[in-house]
Amino acid sequence: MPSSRPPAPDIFAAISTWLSDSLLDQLEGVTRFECRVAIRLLQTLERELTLGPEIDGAEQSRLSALLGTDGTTEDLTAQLADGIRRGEIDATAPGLLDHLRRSSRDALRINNPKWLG
Amino acid sequence: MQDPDSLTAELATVLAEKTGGTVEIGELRRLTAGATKGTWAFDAMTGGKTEPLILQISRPRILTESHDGTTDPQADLPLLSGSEDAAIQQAADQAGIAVPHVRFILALDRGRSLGVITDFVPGESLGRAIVTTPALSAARQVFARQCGQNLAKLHAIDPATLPFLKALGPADQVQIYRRIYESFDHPQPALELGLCWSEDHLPERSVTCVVHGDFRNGNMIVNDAGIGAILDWEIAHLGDPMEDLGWLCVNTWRFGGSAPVGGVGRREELFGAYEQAGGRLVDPDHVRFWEGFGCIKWAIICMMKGQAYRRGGGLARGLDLEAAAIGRRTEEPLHDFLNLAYPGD
Repeated sequence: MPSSRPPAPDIFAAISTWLSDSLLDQLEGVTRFECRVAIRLLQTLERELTLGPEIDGAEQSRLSALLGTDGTTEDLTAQLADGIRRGEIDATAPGLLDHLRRSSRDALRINNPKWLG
Repeated sequence: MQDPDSLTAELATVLAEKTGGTVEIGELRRLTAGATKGTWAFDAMTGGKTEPLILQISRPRILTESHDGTTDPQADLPLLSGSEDAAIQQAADQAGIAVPHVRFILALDRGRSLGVITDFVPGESLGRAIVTTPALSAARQVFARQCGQNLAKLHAIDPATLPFLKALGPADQVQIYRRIYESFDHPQPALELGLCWSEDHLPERSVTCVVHGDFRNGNMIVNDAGIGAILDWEIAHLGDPMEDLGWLCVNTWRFGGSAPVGGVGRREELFGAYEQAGGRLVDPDHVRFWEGFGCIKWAIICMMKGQAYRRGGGLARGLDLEAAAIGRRTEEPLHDFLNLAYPGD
């Protein structure tokens, strides 16, 4: 990807600030509600671009350790899901619950940090 | 059909036929909350009297096929037609449950859709507002008990009087939601674990009752006196009565409140009022199954909403913002499920 400036997270932040400060108050009813949703989604994307690489790296290392094999985060996640479905890996497997907790917490850091209190 | 002016004119005509007098329609406006059905508020004026009413418009259901040509597993979920929805509301009304009283059932748009007109019930329906609005503090005190009382009455309705309801017990539901999840081909280890947990914790015994299916904060109108009306009956079915008690306690429906029952009440109040009002004896572990599976079910519903636009192997329609936002809520209930099923680990 070209390293153009300003970087994408900053542009997302600028758009969501513009929507909240300049547009939101001019809207009412359904479009006002939708504008709030759009702002939340832009903020989510901003966090995803900023936090994503670190979160993905940590997830991949945990998965590799858990499954004892290498691969992309996507492939390892599919393998883990498959192992759980087949009953080969259950809640007592060392590291499993810790991994799942961290993964859902990391996803919430992007999608809805307020959920974590 | 969605155009307010033509709908106003059509309502005036249809209501005049129904009542045999002149009816003027004023202030027709689309209500924002509740996105699955068309809900409108309006004033009906007859002989100098103005009455606020609610109109719900429903369209026939469209089933889709999944990419491998088999029937979409979502078709196995219960979904009442507009007239069945009105019928169960009327049965609930007769059983003394807080529901909007049905006034008229109308064919609209040359018979292509059905309109159900009910009384307007004043109050708040947004879950977050019910948990936080200072003016509703007295209502919050009685909320859990009133939930128990209304559910006891609902679960006492003779299922034979509502023969159109689909039977959907705990094992059926876990299986249907598993198939829906698998149809997305988007592996989620926490969700797999939740489905396995649900299969391992299925209630050993359950009776079959009329179940609301989406009984929770956010689907009720609450005013000073407490629960004014229970809404959103379209996924009612025959099933385990404890489903309604467990779903009500799912963390998502607490809207940030700390108390388990809709964010505002205690489980003991709910269970006690339910038993006192004639409901069956409540086993908290049995309810906990429905709360845990409820998290998993909500996670799958979030996936359903977020992926609806890409069903059938291509882009079925545009992705709307609210659906995108709900899709991004999938991990909230997964996080809650892990806390519920494996506390202290």
